[in-house]
Amino acid sequence: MIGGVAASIPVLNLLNMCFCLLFMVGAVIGVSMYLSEHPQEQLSDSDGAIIGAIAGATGGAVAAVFGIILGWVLSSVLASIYGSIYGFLPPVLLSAMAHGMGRGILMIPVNIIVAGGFGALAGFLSLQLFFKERRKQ
Amino acid sequence: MAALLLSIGLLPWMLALLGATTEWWRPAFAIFCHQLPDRSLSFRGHDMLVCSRCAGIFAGLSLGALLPLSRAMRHHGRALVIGAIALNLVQAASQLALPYWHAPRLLCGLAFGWAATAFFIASLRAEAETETPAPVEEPTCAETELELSDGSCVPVGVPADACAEGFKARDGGCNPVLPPDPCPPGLTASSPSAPSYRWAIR
Repeated sequence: MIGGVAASIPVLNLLNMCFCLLFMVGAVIGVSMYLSEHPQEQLSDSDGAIIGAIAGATGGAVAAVFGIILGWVLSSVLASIYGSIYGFLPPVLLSAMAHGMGRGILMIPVNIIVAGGFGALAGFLSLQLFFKERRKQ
Repeated sequence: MAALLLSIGLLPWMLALLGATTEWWRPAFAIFCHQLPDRSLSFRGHDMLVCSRCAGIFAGLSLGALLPLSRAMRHHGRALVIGAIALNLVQAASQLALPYWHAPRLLCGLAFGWAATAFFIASLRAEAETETPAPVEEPTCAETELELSDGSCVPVGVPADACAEGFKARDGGCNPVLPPDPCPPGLTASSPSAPSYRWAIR
């Protein structure tokens, strides 16, 4: 979710320059939170992948929805500025805003699936690289 | 999981090769990649939906799903992933001084995507193998037989040649050999090997 929100913010999105970093970090935080809440538990590779996938899919959904809302707000602001300057809103602009929102909604499942896959990979890698001592042998 | 990663890895390449409308699909990948045009490959006049490094990572996902690490190589998976990350960091740092070349970005991304996915799939397979219970072997001996450690079967009970003197094997047990007629009152069987009568001590 943290990665998702960060990924949908335009400037922070540039952090994705490094291997989808935000979703990787999101999944690592997810595994870390789970381990801190279950201090006695050892996780298998598939457990790490499942936690990462859940974190990634949640992040993907949040990023998509948050991105749509952010896009809508920014478009509305631009439209209001345009309207205040020229006194009217061209139909092309309104159509583009509606299409943009529609595309965003249609792409939510794609975001969830791709982010879930990356999250699973990141969850597994986080267990292998950062939480080796908590990994079930 | 391998099928999912294979599909995810192929998605941006298929969309690029099919010439899918980038305007439609671009938002779907915007949360994964910066999508800077000067760092992205172009097909048919359209920029790919992800940059060249991410394109390599996506291709690596598919490659890793198809070619996971072998059982022996799996133990080096962690080192492979760390090496691939280091390679990407070095290559990314080199971009500060050098122009953006797609080939090294693509190859470094491919190395990371393949190493991570190949290690992941190999580990999941190894885990599945260890969790699968050993197949139950069908009994080779009959219900009234016992399987020995060498695999041979012997009937349950006392073996025919293991009965003591004066006993005779019968129905898996040892029955005493008695005189043909019951002993008269006051007498008992004397010798198991040559049954006769003798005075019983009372």
